[in-house]
Amino acid sequence: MRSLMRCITLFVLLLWSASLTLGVGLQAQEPLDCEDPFIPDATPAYYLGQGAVLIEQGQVARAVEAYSCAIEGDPTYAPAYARRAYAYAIMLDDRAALADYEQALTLDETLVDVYINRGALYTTLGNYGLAISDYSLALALEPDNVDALNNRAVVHAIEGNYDLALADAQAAIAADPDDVTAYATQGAIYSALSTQSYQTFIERGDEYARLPAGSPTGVMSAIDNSQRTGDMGIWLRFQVPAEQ
Amino acid sequence: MIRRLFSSLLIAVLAMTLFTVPTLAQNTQEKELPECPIFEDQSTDVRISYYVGEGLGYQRSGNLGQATDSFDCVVLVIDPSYVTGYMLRGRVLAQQRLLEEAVDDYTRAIELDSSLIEAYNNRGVLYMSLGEYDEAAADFARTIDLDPNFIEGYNNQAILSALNEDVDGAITILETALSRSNIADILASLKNPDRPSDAEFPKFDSINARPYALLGIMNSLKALQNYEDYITLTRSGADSRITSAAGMLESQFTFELRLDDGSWLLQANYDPFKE
Repeated sequence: MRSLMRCITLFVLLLWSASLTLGVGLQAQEPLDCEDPFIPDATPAYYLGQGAVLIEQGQVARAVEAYSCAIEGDPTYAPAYARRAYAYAIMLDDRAALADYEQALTLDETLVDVYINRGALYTTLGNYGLAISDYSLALALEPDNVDALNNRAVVHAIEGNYDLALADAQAAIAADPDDVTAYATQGAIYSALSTQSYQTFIERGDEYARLPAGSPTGVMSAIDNSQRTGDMGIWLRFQVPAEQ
Repeated sequence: MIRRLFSSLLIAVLAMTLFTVPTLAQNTQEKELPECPIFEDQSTDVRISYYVGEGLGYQRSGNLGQATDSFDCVVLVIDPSYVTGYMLRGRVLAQQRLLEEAVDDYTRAIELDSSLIEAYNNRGVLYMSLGEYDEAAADFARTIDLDPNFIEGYNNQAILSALNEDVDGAITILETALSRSNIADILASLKNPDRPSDAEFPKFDSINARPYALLGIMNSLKALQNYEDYITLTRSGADSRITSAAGMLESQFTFELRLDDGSWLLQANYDPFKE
């Protein structure tokens, strides 16, 4: 009889385990049901939490469903429009994204993240003026917002305004020296500036004008090497003698 | 509907393996406070809603560690008196096989709300898996004290009784469970030969049907016990048909009622997402 009890213990425990395992797996594809939050006093933010997980997991269409549930629960809830807009932007549904960004800002014009994300969408769409405008609005609300500064620097760089771009990238670094993004942006701006300078060198030199290391890429590689090894030879090639 | 789902969520019984004796140490309270920056400037109910939604999203996708982090935000940072937060975290901890910590969470929930049937029930199941049968029995008894129609309490009491080698007691408990709902009447109506073929299938909570399944198991156990008694007495002279029948039953308990084709028995009622 004792062995029987061990048997029944085993199978009952295994059944419990099986039920949970199967349940988790099956549920992943079930549609969201706006009427059934798991807590009775849920606010629309409940669906924003679910949406955040779905975005993180790449289930963007389902995240849109979650955000729509939040909007259904409270059509005046600006953060839900803001997040759904971001999801639409990921899905390349630009029109829907812009409509939701607009609605979010109509409901709450102080949502800094919405200006930033809409600015990024405008940048992607090539509407640089509108992008600059959104980033500037974000910075009017939060002057030290690193993301806004960095993103505006990018747009300035795209438009060839490297001085403005550098100013914004450096402001971002000053605002938060631990945020690495702006360092990359600043590096890219300097790269663009270097390319621009080499181009000027080539344009103004004669047909024999050549860079000391052969090409812009060669120079950058040599400089990178000099910083790692301490061999400053590349710099010596840029020296010129005084005219006698 | 919401209330039913909530109830279903809370009675989710948890995956088990045999572990050591629970200490009720407040392990979770020793955890470093998590960072919970989302909606930091918003009201408590907004923040709780967000992190509960996030936690359930992680749990649904099997990211149990992240689900625990979300529920940590609820009970360690936002509102240490939020009972549902402990229930939710307890369930995830149990899924992670952190049974003692899960017991702690249900205990905390009971401290905050001593009438919470689901917390007693879930803690009782955890105690069962930890081999603490006396504590489990007390918790299941408490569920029935609080609600004499709480069928899950009877079902779990019956399983516990069988584990304590009292199959007859288990059968009595299950028969009581059947008498506490209208499931027998529903069954009779379904078996009625005059029932129209196009009649709508009756609606009822499937948990009420489970005592029949458990009764089947208990009676099979009794049958096997009788077969084994016969084989013990007759030894090599046992009728081969009885020996075969005993072997088949034992095989069922070893194989058929396990993972592959036995999960029908308990799956729906222990899965809060299934509803």
